[in-house]
Amino acid sequence: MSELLSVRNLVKRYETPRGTVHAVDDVSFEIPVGHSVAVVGESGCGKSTLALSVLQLVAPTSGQVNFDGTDLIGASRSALTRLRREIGVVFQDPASSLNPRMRVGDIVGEPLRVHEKLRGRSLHDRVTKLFNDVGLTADAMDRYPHQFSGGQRQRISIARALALEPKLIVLDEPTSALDVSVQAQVLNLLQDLKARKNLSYLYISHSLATVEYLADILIVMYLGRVIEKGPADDIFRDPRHPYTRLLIDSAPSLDPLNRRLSRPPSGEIPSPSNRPAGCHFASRCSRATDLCRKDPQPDEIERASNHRVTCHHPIGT
Amino acid sequence: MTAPLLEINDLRVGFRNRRAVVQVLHGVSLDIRPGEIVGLVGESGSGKSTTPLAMLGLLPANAVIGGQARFENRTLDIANPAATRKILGGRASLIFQQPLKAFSPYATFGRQLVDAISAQTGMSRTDAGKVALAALEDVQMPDPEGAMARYPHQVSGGQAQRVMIALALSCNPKLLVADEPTTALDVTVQAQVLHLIRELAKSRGIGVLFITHDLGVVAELCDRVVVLYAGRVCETAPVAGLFHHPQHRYTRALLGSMPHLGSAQAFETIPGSAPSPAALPSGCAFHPRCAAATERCRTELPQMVTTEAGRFACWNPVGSDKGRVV
Repeated sequence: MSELLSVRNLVKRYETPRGTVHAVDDVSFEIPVGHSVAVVGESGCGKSTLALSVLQLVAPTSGQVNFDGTDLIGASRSALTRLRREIGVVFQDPASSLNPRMRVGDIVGEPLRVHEKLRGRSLHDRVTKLFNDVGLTADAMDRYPHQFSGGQRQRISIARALALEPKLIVLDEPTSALDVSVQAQVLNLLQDLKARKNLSYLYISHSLATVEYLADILIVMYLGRVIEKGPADDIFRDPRHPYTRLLIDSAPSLDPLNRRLSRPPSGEIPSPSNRPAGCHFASRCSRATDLCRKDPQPDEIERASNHRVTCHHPIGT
Repeated sequence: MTAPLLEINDLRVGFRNRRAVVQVLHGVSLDIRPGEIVGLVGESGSGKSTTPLAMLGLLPANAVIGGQARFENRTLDIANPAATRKILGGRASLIFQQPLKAFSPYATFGRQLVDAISAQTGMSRTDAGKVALAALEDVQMPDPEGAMARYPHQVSGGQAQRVMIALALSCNPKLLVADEPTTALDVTVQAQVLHLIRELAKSRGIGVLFITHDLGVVAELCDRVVVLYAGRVCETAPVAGLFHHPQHRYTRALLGSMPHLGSAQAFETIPGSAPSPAALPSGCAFHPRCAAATERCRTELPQMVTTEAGRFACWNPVGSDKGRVV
């Protein structure tokens, strides 16, 4: 499997008057060509900072982000401009990520005007094709974003992300602002595009159910660190970290006869600027021992093929 | 069966603009019993936010309201928001989706709780402070005394939602309206808040109207469900029946499109999106998106059918697939 993106020991710290916030703390992973990697976790786990670091929209404190053989962090401005064509992005809220004063055809065509200098007929043809790719008709091109529903707007964002035929698309919670019936359409579209265009995704989400559908590889983060990663099927079937288990158990089921929330989890996520010593999850963990509450943090161990967990007492031992 | 706490019949709401009145609710009926948690489910434009605001007398002046309502066996003049508020004021509470936006950032939680409690009950500030502290303890707020001295920005979303629930419960309401109270919360915190709402409803006999678009939350929490589409009730049933034997085609399609763990295959999708209240389709408003629509669905408004299991308004219900209406 060749790697499209490789992230090595990525660290992003913010210095604040109240102390250092460890947003991303020593994160490493790879995205093979044509695969989707999902990053899940709750508020403050660092998943969005991780996505922004990969896009070079925030400058990491240290570490490497290697895309298709080039290190993005040391790259020159011109090299970055070139590489950015290869990475598309879809944000959570299409209402605020589309310029309300531009026609949607111009929004989708803008990357082609800037990077490929397309104009006139050739531009129009490419934009028409992009609209068709995401299930919109070309007559929508002359309208403005507010004239579309939420789901259609997200299709427009996806068309814009696809414009330069990127190899990787970063999806930051792309369906969480949408109605349920429309969310399913967009997830199916993303799955379909991935297969048709051999795309790779870095999918950021807090919704385990959508992750299960879209992800090949799953990364679970807690307070800046990766606590479990591996093939998504393996983790959903056989989670090893107690936090992953907690996340799965906290997701509502769709069966009123088999409710999950009779025993709700206790505690909340500590602040990323004041993380507990040792394993950061120990304060909420039912399996924690004195070992977990002391530094150093647990090391990452391989439990099964490519399935790694950062825990002193993983489930199943 | 106990008498309903709140009964709403044929609620109609429109909003007047410069040109016309845009009708948003076309005759919604629902009831809530003491201690019962009723889920109100719908998509954008379904009327799921307008319904509770009309119930509580909180609609703006350009709303045109019609229908009948009874609360604790008293008739409510629901067309008159001020009169409705007067009766429901101390008996019904509302909690919102974004707790941090519902509080003022300039005052401590203690001050905001005491202000609300003393305004509502006429208690002295000292007594109101004791009530506020007790309410924070009831919602299992960690360090309740400390929380009284804190400002909204100093706590997490989950804790702010606990404070809001404490505020809502401090006046001993009979009815709690919860508008997507867990949508902005993390999943483990959502589980805690849902559990808390359920405990409080059951132990105090509070009727809860829980508004959400998340069917998973409904399955976990509610006793009964009302499904809205385009300003009308399309189906209402006890929660287990609705999830296991939905009758309305929209209910069934909505369940099929809901991502949940263990459903790693493609979702059934509903084509298109929910209609705008200003441009409703003829007949059954769902027919343009419905795979089972018949000619009758396109022309004639479906009548509400009552069965042992619940009520639904669909010309070609799911149960008819087996040659009978279940």
